[in-house]
Amino acid sequence: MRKKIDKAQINTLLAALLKDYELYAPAREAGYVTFRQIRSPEEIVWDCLVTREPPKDVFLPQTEVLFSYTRGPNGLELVSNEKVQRERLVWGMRPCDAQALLVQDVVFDTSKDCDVYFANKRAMTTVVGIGCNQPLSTCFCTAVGGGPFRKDGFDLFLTDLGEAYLAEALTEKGERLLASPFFHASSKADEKAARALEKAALAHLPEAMDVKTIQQHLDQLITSPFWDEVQASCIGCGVCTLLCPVCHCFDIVDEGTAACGQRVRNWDTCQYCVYTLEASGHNPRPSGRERVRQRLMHKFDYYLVTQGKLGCVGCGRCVQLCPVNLDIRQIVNEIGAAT
Amino acid sequence: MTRTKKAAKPSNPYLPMPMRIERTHVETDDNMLKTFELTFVREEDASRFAFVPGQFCEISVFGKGEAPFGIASSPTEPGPLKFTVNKAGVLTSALHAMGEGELLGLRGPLGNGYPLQTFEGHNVVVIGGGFAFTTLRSLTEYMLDKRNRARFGEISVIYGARTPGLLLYKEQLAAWEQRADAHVHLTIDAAVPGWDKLVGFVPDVVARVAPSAKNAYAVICGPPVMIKFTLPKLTALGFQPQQIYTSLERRMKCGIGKCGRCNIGPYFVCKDGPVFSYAQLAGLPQEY
Repeated sequence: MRKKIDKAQINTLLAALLKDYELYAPAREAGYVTFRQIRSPEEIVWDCLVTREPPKDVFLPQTEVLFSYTRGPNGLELVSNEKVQRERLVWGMRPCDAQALLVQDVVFDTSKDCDVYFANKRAMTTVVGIGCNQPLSTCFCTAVGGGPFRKDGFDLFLTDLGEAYLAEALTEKGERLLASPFFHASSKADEKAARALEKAALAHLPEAMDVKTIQQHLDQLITSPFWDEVQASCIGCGVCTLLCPVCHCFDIVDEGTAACGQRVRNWDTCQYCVYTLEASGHNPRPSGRERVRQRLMHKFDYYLVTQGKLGCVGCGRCVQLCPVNLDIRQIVNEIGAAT
Repeated sequence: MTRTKKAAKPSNPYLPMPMRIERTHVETDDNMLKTFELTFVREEDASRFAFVPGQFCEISVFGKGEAPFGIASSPTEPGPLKFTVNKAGVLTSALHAMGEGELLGLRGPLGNGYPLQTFEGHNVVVIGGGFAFTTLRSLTEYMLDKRNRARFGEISVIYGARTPGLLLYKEQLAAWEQRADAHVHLTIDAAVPGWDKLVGFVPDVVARVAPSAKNAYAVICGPPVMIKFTLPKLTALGFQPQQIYTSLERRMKCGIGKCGRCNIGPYFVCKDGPVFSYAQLAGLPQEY
């Protein structure tokens, strides 16, 4: 179902939603825009296309207590932190980040050994997406199978029509939002305008990559000196992976003593040398060459094997934020050209 | 607000079961390897826990964290679960300092064990080196159990350590040596007084024992250098990559394919392994 909401009404709607939901949206924090919990609609930054941090933190917090433990007279007591108390709403997620969330769903929400921390948050969250009228120069969603108006993964999808948003409900959760009196009927002309916006946005974006050829080349490049060249400029800071919306690696550590404390998981990255370092001193990925290879191969080869899709959604954060200007598009182009 | 769909609530795979250290036993004369015998604190955990040789568990030492260890006992053995731990880092050092009666946490069984059904009706050559003999102990003990013995053909064990004092499970090895239905070849790197068994590195002993590849599987675990030099010997004997299995170790955290740490190509060692055939590993980065 499609409806429309005037921009002048948006903050009133969001103020009403804040009563029912914990609301997460792009908002300023320490000089940049990121997805975080907001207390008032005024905090939302509307013109940010790619937030510094992706919204993955809503479902997989950068730091999360899994459980606390106490050793008392009755033995061991564990108190899990898996329950989600309030319904959540993510407002203004971009299609690339939703594609990433769909990849993470397959990793975490499994029939065997389901990650209840992730799955509970996912089940309790309504995701409102928004199309990208003016993609950035670093955006390449269309190259990796996505699109600036791709709707998968959203409960409600918004298109910015200038004075109003066209809103399309894609799930029951979305229908529930659309039932709010702030939405009113949309017209055929609105839908036509939305299609024109999509067409205009697509004109700024690259063509689809030849994924199969890239995968085949990667399989041939395992022992190639190609990776020495890539790693020569990489300083191993890990920003490309930590701020990647698809990357989901984490570390688990205990904080506390033998008697009481908590088990915590923290985002981690395959770009750090300690990531695979074993207690014996053996490291199966001893240098930058294996680590940059892992990042590229996981995204453009292994995910195709395990999920049938890429582990890159073309958000361009790694391109924007790499301190030595490594550009994953260029590396992938070189892989495609390599023989 | 009510949820429309209510599926059966999945259990939390990150919560460890409480375990009590029943007994500890120093395995090697350098005091670096200790076997911990663990019993379940809760009856329901004990009855639910079913495993096959080759599977592993995450052991929690509270305050230090978790680390993965192969199960050294066989499901055919009654009594506590056995884990043999090398003292190497922060967690294993703390574990070595713990004694009988103390509490640990345990998650598992995790991963896939040895492909017993594939091995059925075939000869099995078990090749181990150093302290990488824990799940091989489980496997051998399982196959030699009187309820299972008839399901397998000839069973050979080739096991080497630097010195006699560094061999694990000495009593078990002695018992296997007594059996007419098992061929046990124990070797050490260099001759010492009182040692009347084989002398030489595992790859050379494999070549000397020369197990036939016909209708056979080889299972090999050991230090990378031993594996590197043993694989060509097996190949020379006619073993194909799909006839050679190994159990891999990697640094792990979650043990259930989420934390991303232990992948080799598209496989996670925790969830898709730790047991792999060399046919599966062919063409993947050698990140192990």
